[in-house]
Amino acid sequence: MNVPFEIRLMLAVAGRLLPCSLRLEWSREWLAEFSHAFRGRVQRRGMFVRAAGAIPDAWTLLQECGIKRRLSEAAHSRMTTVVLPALMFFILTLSTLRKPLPNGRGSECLVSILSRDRQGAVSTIYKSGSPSSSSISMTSCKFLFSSSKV
Amino acid sequence: MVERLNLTYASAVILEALAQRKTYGFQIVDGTGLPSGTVYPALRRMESAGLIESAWDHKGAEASGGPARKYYRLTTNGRKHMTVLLDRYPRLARTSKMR
Repeated sequence: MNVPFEIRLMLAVAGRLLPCSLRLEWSREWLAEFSHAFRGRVQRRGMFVRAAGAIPDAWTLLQECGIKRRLSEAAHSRMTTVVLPALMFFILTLSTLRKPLPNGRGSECLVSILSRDRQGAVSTIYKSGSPSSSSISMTSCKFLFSSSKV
Repeated sequence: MVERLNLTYASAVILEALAQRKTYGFQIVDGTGLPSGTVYPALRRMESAGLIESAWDHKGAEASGGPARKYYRLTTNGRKHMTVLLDRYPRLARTSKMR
């Protein structure tokens, strides 16, 4: 097949949105169009832009056939047992690295304001963020205000 | 009486392109200048609304030596809607006459 790997990959990714029953015909149509297009002289970049249109196309077809149907099909897929826990682990890891919990390991007490407010609480300013990122740029640090009853 | 459908100008342009002759997706993209991300979703919606129909061109594929393409063409219902759309979008009617 004369269709570049990148375009086939884009089509394969977009095609994952669709249920199996529609995916085959859908990808056949797109691949046939690209196969004919790449027989002549074409701008590669323009073809990549054109391949990006496969995503809204797949999304429209998905809406037509029913998202629920696709979700139930995905739930019964063997891939789901691997992909879903991996995705959850990835999201949790990423969120932990990007935003450490206040008063956790990544936090550092900067100032304690030793005056009680009306509710009798003492305010403390914490700096959160990993030491490497805070030393590079102060803008990436987050300042959190916490109150504790004394 | 033609059933009123919520058709955009882009859909009208695509229908007008299909009114000329049966054609395939990339030819509509080239002919109308619309992006593929607009053309294909519109084709899907219009096909499910019964305005157009599609078929694989196996004969043409054998002749060209490539894979079969999917061709779209207007249905009778689509032609009725086309006349309504030409009234709604006079600019489209003018460009249609110019071709």
